[in-house]
Amino acid sequence: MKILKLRKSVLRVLVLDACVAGCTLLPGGVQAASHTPLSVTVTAADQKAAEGASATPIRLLAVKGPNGVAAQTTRFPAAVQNRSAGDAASSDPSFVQSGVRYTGDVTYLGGAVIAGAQQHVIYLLPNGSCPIATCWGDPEGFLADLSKSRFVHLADQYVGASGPDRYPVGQSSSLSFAAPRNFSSGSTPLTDADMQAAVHAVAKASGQTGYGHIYHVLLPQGADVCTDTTYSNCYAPDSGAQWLFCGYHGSVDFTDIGHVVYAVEPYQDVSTPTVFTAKPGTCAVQPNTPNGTLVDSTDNLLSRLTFGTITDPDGSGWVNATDLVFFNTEISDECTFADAVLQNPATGNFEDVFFFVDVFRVASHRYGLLPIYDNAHHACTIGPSAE
Amino acid sequence: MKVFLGSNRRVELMALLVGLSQAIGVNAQAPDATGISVQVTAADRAAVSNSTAGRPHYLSAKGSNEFRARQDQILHAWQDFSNAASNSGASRTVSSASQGSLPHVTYPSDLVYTGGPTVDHAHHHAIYMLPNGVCPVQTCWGNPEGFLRDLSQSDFIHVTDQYVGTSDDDRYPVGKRAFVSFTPPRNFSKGSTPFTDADIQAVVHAVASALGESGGYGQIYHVFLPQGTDECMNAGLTVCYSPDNGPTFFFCAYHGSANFPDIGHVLYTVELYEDVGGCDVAPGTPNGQLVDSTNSVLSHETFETITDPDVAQGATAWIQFLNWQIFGSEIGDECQTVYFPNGFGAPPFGGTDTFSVEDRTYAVQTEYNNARHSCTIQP
Repeated sequence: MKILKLRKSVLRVLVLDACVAGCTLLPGGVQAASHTPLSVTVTAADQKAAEGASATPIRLLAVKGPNGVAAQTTRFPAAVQNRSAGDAASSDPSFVQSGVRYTGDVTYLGGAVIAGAQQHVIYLLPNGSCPIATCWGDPEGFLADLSKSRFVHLADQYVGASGPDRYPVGQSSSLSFAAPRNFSSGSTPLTDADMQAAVHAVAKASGQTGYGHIYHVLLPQGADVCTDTTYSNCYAPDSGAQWLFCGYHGSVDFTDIGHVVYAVEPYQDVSTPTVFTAKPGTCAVQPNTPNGTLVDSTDNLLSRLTFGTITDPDGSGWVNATDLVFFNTEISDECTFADAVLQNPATGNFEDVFFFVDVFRVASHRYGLLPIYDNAHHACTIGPSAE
Repeated sequence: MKVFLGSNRRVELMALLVGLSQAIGVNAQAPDATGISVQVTAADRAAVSNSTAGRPHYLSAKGSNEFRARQDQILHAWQDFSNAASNSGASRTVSSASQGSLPHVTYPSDLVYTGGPTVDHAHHHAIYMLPNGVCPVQTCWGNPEGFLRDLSQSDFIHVTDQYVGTSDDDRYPVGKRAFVSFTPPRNFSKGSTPFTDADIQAVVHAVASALGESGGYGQIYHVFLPQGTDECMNAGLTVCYSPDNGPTFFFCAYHGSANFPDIGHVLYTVELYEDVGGCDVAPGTPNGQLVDSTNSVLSHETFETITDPDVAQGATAWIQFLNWQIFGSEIGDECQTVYFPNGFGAPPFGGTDTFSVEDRTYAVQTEYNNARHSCTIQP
């Protein structure tokens, strides 16, 4: 096993030992993943490829808390910048209604959707070590369940397909980086360019690119990531002013390997003491979900980003194109429910605000997840029917 | 006929004509009728200084500043929510998360009742701000009172029944009107100073005092400002209605409430000139852009005053507190739509639907209907 430091120009990938001795059953019934990781060497060429790539604007999932508004409110300028007058939104006649309009209904803007794809997890390991179960739970197990579930068929209406298990889990990878990478330690956070370089390295090595493959980059606790080197728009629980999002998805066109679709999932089980402090809120789900806040918070974000990627990989798929307060949001954005238990009567302490999730079966396991917007039912639901 | 009502103000009453204008008010398209002329005095401004009002809830202007306006609104909604909970000294749970989980089907825009007052019956009073004392109502704004009169008699207003707990017909009739003269310009472009909400509160205090109506939740005062007049929400003059100054142009209108030490609780809305990019409806509506833009915004503020009158003071009633994406939105906010017929480089128009009373048809935005989980023009 080689552990190589992350330097600005070089990324190297750590080869994890596979779960060869059999997989253990984690609390809550989530099975540990069994996979053979991909061995990849990242070079300066990967970094350069990221610099030379053209990327669609990334879609942020705002942090739960007052600061998150800055993330979610950038959507209007992005929509203005990236759409032409000829787009469907500009000629949408629904501005004149016939009695009833559902605020969350999304509109198809004509771009790509993903009817089927393999999902690939890339684990970023601080100094080469972060046991998956401890650091994230079982992301691949969740994604496998999601692909087999009825929940994922909520996407059928948007992608024009209905076959089973269309989003199976493919080859995973991991890479080491020199920790820490965050504000509070005085180091610099990772950036989206770093994420793209990592994705490039893995995708080039595997040859798996295009809309048939979705890469999920998972960051460990303590790793901050920002959209760019202004370091102003970040996942940064240790730096309140910059902490604007919980995760994001995007796509990029590399000159050598073409189009790659990816999502970035930072560590989700984070919360601040109270909404009444200066710090923002949380990315975590409510307490007492089936698998605990670490696993369900991670899987909740994976779920939201998967649905967002499937239905709007390039920013021109399914979005809300008419409602002002929901403008340019995706099917997962619109169902961001929160709860504010302001004061615990028993302790007198003010509790955290957290995502208020549904608890339901996804394939053969139960999870605590936010619902997804369902045009057919004009509501946030958990899919065509409960399992 | 002049009536002197004491040393603090002079009020010119044309009682006979006022009464006559009200008697013929059933004709919603009546030409300009007279009302009382009111002057704002130092006593009114002093009353504002001694009042508690909070921060009004504004209707954001569509365009490049809209996202910052939303940010501003959400942040203040959080602050109000937090302050109210801190001050109450009691546990307040917005939802039942601590006891369970989200339902399998959840409507993203359903409003939540958070305990504050609503307005089940009230009289509307129009206050027209006249530059140098002159601005014919029909020319400058259309017929807002005619619209309010028809709105009160419409099916559309019964969308509010579920929120206020009554279904009485015509429970929001039009009352007395007033005119207030001011010296223009009041905007950015001329190097003058925009109005502030404190100025508007002084106007409302003066008129409410002069009209002598009972205060509280039984009266709603609508202040109409003419074209070319700006207003800002904050002393720094950065959050404004200012079509002539893009960087500060955040809102089209707003509603609020104030507690004056002498006359008590007063509800008011402020409608700036709406036939401007970012506030207007699309061309082709039944009464033209000036009239329908004014009426649509007036309708928006009226519905929000009825269902959430004291949002400015943190005593919210029906508001969005569950969906983080639209946190702090009210019944009108959730139903604004945008339409880009001139491309994304130009400000969008607001979407509308139509309702009719007798042979009069209006184009206004819809309002959120919890019972139907959608934006509707019918209950």
